[in-house]
Amino acid sequence: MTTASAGFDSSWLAAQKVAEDAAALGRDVVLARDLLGRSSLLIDDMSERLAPDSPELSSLRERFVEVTRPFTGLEPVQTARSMFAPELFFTAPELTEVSPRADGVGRICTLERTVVGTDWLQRDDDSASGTPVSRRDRRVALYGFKGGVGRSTATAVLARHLADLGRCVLVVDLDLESPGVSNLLSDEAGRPRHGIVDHLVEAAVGNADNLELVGRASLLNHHGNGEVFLAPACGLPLEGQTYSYLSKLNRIYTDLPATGDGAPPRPFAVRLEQAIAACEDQVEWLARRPDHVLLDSRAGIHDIAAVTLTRLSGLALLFAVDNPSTWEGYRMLLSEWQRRPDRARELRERIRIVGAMFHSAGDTERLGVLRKNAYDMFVDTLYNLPDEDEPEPFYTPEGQVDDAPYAAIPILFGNDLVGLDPLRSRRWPELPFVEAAYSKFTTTVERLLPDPHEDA
Amino acid sequence: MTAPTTSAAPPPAFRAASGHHYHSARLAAADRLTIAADHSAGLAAECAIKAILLDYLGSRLNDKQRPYNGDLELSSHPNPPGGKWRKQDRKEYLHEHLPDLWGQLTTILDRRRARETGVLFLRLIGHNPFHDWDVSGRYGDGTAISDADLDRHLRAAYDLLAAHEQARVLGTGALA
Repeated sequence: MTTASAGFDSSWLAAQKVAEDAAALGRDVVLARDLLGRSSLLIDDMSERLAPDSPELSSLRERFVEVTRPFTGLEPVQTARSMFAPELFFTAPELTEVSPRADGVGRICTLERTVVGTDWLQRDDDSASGTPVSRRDRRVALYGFKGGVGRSTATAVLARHLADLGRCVLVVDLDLESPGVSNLLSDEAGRPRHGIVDHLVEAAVGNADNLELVGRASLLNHHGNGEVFLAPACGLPLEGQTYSYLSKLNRIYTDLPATGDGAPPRPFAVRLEQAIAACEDQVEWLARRPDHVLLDSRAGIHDIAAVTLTRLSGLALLFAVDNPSTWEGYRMLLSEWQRRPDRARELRERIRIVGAMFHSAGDTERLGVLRKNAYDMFVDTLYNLPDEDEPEPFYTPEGQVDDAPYAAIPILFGNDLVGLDPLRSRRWPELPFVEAAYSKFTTTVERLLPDPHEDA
Repeated sequence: MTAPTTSAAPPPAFRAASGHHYHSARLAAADRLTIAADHSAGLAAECAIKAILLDYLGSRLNDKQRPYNGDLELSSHPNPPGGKWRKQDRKEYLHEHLPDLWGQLTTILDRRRARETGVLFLRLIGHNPFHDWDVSGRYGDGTAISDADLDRHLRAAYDLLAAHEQARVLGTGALA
C-alpha cells in the first residue's frame, strides 16, 4: 500500500520548495493559494519571456503538480506573460514576502484569499485604515483567545476605575456575535437606540449621520468627575419599532467597493474604524473627548479581533488562562504574525498578557509559571523574527523584565465572581472581593495608558 | 445575426473568446476604428460574463450548447399561493446579450452570500457600464459612441476578464 497523498500542510510545504527552486533561477515568483487550499505557482517573466514549452517550465510544472496533489490549482504553473492581468497577482497589496530578492535569486511571495483570517496579516497602514495615531493610542483592546475568561467583567471594572480617576471612558462592545459588556454597564435606561452593527450597515449606504450610538453607563457607580459611556453592539429600538440584529450581523463583514470615482474602497477594517470613530465623536459632543476607549473584542481567531488588535488599538491586553489550549492558541496566532516581521516588531511593543481568572490560593509560584509559559511563547514567536540585525530589545535569558509583554498582569479568581448579577447588585464593583481581584490589573493598566492630558 | 449553435458544434470557450475579443477591441481602438472597437469590447464583456456564470455561478449549457441559469427559471420556484402560472420568455433565463445579461449577473449574485464577494467584483457590478451598449451598435455610423463610452466599455471588459482570472487562481471567493 502506498502512503496517503499530500495533505493540506505538506502540500503547501512542497509547493514552497518548488517555488524556491523556481526563484533560484532568477525570476520573482508568487505562490497563490485559493479558497480550497489549492496552490498555483506564478512566475514573473515580464523582463525575459519564458516560452510555454520551454524545458524549464515543463519540468517545474510536472514537479509542482506531482508534489502538490490533491491541493493543486486549476492552472498549476503560469507565467506573467500568459496571464490576462498579471498585475493583480505580482503587485497585489496583500502579497506576503517570504524571501526577498537576492543576487541572482528572485523574490518569493505568497498570496492567499481566505474567507476569514487575512486581516491578521494585513499591513497596518494608517492612511488606509484611517486611524490617526492620536485616536489609536487612546484605545485599549481587551482580547482572549478563549472565551469565558472574564474579559467583559474586567472591561467594566477597568472603565469604572478610570472614571474614579476623573477620566472620560468609552466602552465599545465589539463582541458582536455574543454581546456581553453592555449588560454589565447599563440597564435599558442607558442604552442608545443604535449599536455598532447599525453603524456598519447604515454607513454602507451613506446613512449613518443620525444614529444614536452611545449612552451613559447607568450601572457603574463611580465617584468624582469621571464619566463612562457605552457603545453597545446592539441598539435598543423604541417600542413598536422592528429591529433585526441577525440580518444586520450577516452583512457587516463585507468589504465594500468605492462609492465614486477616486474614493478608496472600504474594507471591513476601515468600516469598523469609522464606526468606532463615530462613537468617540458622539461622546465628545455629549461630554468631552474620551480619554480612554476600551474595545471589548470577541474571542478566537476572527476578523474583528484581528482588526482590533493589529490596527485599531494602541495597547492590546491578551487574556490568558494558564492551560495548554490557551498557549497553543496564542502560539498559533503569534506565529502567523511572525511571518510578517515588520508587523510583528511593531505589535510586540503594544501587547501585554493578562493572567485571567488567576488562582493564587496557597501557591505564590503560580504567577511565575504563567509568566514563564508566556515568555517561552514570545521567545519562540515574536522575539524570534527573521533577519533581525539589532539585538532583541525584549530578550533577556530569564524573562525577568517586569514591564515586558510576557510579564502577566494577574486578575485573581474567586468563586464569588461567578454568577455576579449587575442588575441585582449595582454596586458590585465596590464589593471587597471584586476590588481585591482586580486591583493589580486596574493599577497596572492605568500606568500603561497614555496621559489623558497629552495633546488635549 | 449570430449563427445558431447546434449540439454538433464544439462547446463554446467563453474565456478564450473573451480574451480574443478584448485584444481585437484594443487593436481597433488604437487605430480609431471606434465601431469595431466598441462592438468587440461589448462581445468581450459578454463572453467574460458567460464564462464567470458558467465557471463560478452555477449556469449550465443546454442541449443546444447555449448558456442558461436554472435559478432564473420560473419553474424552479414554487408558484405563489393563488398566483397564476405564466409562460416565461426564455430570454429571462438564457444568457444572451448585454445590457440585459448584466441584469442576470447581478440577480444571480444577489442570491449569493455577500461575505465572500471580492471588492474588485463588487465594485465592478455596482453600475452597469453597458447600459448604453447594444449588439446592433455595429450597424451605426459610430457618431453615437464617445471616447468616454468606449473607454468605459474597454475598462469593464478588462475588469471582468481580470475578475475571472483572479477567481481562477485564488478561488471563487474573489467573486461570490
